[in-house]
Amino acid sequence: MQAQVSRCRAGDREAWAAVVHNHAGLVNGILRGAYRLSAHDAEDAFQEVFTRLYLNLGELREDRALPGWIAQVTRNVAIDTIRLRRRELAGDDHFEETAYDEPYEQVLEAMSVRQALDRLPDQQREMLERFFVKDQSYRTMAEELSVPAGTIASRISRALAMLRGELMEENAAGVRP
Amino acid sequence: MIDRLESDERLVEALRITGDPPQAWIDAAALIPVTLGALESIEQLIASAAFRSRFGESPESAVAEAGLPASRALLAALRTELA
Repeated sequence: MQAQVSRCRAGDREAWAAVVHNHAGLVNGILRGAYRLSAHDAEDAFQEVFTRLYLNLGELREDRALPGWIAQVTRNVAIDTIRLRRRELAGDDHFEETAYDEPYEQVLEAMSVRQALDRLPDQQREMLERFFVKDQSYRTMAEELSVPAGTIASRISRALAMLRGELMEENAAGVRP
Repeated sequence: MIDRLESDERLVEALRITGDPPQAWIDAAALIPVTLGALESIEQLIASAAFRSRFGESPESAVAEAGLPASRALLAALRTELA
């Protein structure tokens, strides 16, 4: 299969939509989780990141370069946004960029968890996404999945164990995001 | 990394902070190639008196009738050019 980046460069809009979908969590995590941008600023920054990516597709040669490139550009856009807000509010755009280094690294680490989640079988991935990402209750999950509420907790527990197993395998193999 | 993520709490936090943004953000970003392509057509559009008149009546309809997606970004760009 042709690499996504080259398909995007060739004008394949499905490939572009897949790139956006696959990296939306990373960009959102950095903007909101690490740099704590407001929802409004984060929305603008999100579009800015993907616009820059689209305009610079020619610089990217391999799909594996995408996450790192996107993370760095997202970081730059977040810092620019914070500077702009500080200038507007305080007339001074100075702030300690290093104050955000640790949460930024945490988001990058968290992406490993997200990628491990994506490798789980559909049923286990769905259990974890519903409960931990979408904040669904046992009751809602039981109703939507047509299973007894009493089995939800044990299924989540098993799915978490599988996720831990994935991460341990990844760690043993030295895989990095 | 496992040392830091070994507890369920850390796994849960990791899943939460990498959650997807609102679907509307993703949909808008997916349309960036269309929007940027459409921006190249702006000069031709604003040169048309018929388009300018129609845009004044109904921006969304004018853009749709010109065969372009009436995205927020494109409408904003056209409003700026026609101001």
